[in-house]
Amino acid sequence: MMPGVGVKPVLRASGLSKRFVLHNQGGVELPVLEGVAFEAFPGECIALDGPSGAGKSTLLKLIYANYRASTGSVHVRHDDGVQAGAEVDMTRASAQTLLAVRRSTIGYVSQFLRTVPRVGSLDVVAEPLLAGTGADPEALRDAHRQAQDLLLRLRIPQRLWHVAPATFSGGEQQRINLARSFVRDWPVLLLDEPTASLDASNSATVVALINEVRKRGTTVIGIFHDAHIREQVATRVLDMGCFQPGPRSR
Amino acid sequence: MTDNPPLLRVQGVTMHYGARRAVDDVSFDLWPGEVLAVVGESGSGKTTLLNAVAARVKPDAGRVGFMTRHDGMVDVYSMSEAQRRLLARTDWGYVHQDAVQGLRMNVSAGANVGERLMALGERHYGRIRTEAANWLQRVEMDAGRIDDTPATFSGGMRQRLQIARNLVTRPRLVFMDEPTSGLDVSVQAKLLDLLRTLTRGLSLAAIVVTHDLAVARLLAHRMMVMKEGRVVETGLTDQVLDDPQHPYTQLLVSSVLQP
Ligand SMILES: Nc1ncnc2c1ncn2[C@@H]1O[C@H](COP(=O)(O)OP(=O)(O)OP(=O)(O)O)[C@@H](O)[C@H]1O
Ligand SMILES: [Mg+2]
Repeated sequence: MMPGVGVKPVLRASGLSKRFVLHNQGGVELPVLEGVAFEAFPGECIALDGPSGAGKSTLLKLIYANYRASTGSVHVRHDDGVQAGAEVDMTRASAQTLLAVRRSTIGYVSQFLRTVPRVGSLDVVAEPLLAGTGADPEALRDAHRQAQDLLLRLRIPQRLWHVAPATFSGGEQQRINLARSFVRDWPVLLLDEPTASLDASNSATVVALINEVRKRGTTVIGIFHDAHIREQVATRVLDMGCFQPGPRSR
Repeated sequence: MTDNPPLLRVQGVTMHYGARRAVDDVSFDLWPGEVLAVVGESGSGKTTLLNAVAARVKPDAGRVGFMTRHDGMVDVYSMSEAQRRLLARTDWGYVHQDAVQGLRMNVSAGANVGERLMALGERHYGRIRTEAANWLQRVEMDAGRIDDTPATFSGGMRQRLQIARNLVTRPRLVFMDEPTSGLDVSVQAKLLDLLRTLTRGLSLAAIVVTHDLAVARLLAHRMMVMKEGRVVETGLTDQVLDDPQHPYTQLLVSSVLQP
């Protein structure tokens, strides 16, 4: 989908690069990405395309500020409650600002769910809705209801709702992870192989969920190995080949 | 958000042991509700820094400002001894690695929890007892043990009691020195869950000293890595653990399995 005239990007990366320096392995340098530049608009689903090791996951982590950029910037429009639509540069913002962006603007589904040992699935899924509501019982009931809807849609059997996901199968953990991110709408949603360990019916549910949030205005940036899934969700493909470090820096 | 003033402002704190600098020019801010983990090997100055920041041992140089409830940002070392003691008993908490240091071993669990309420002027026995029982339950202890002394408790229970004793006055800032080390692994995991639930639920700011990166991963929003008394790296917890920059941090992270 082409953005209309005057529509501002939600996210823009420019001059972004990432190189790892492994100090304890002889200081070897691994340039992974260079010259990453793109803009993302509301309602788009951008699929990152490239072979294994091309830096797809690395790019999502740079956007989320999980990895620290070597150069460049990632500007994200973030409503900080004071100034709607103010831009935050994820490569430079303070820890406080990054945490605020992660609470309300950017959602991220990594491949691995890091669970808190004794927190049950329902609470894990409801947590993103409860940030900043204190212990308000009304808010808690509401959050649990929405969490249940998603657990049902993603076919997590009810007997598992109060069990901590630590012992779940790979596919179950992935669905908990997905439920947790789809439980609220994010302006930007990052998905790292969201259907990698799911069966056909759950994959179809994830496709539906992605298209629903996108139509509500979320910008989705994702990695979808399965070409069939990608065709059903992507509105645009971003070729990671353009962002490979040149021979000079190797 | 960022414009809010910090709860704690540490500037240039330096401590010597003889000629050796145990803590060298450390500065950081802590925001309300934020949990900061201080990690590094033993001997890197973590506990010395914690004691300096918690106004327990005056540093040789540097300032520690705390946003008081009524007088704004105040340097804790310019307060009177009495003010400082009141602060430490009400708006601050300190959880020792060894619970024996943080508890009174020969008085009952209830009295251990009630002591800080009395420091705030509460004299009504019934109310103190009810509040103590309430806090024993919040730290998942059997309220039936309220009249037993901590001498009869396991290590995990003593640590829970120490936490209850600290939190009963609803402090805004808690210092913790290796709160889970020395406990069995299964006891550790439960205590960590409890600490996470309590810090998040009460919007408690905390500085947690630990050599265990998994503790930092679970509890902290932000991390500070210390080596030989200096801060070599800071960042969001997941940044420091997933993309460590400093050689020392890379070594720490690579020497454990999946923190
Ligand atoms: N934390 C890290 N430290 C060092 N190197 C890293 C780190 N994370 C990623 N890399 C390296 O960056 C390169 C790109 O990795 P990345 O995971 O982004 O690839 P990808 O395109 O997602 O591949 P795949 O399709 O296999 O998931 C790899 O060479 C990887 O080893
Ligand atoms: Mg990947």
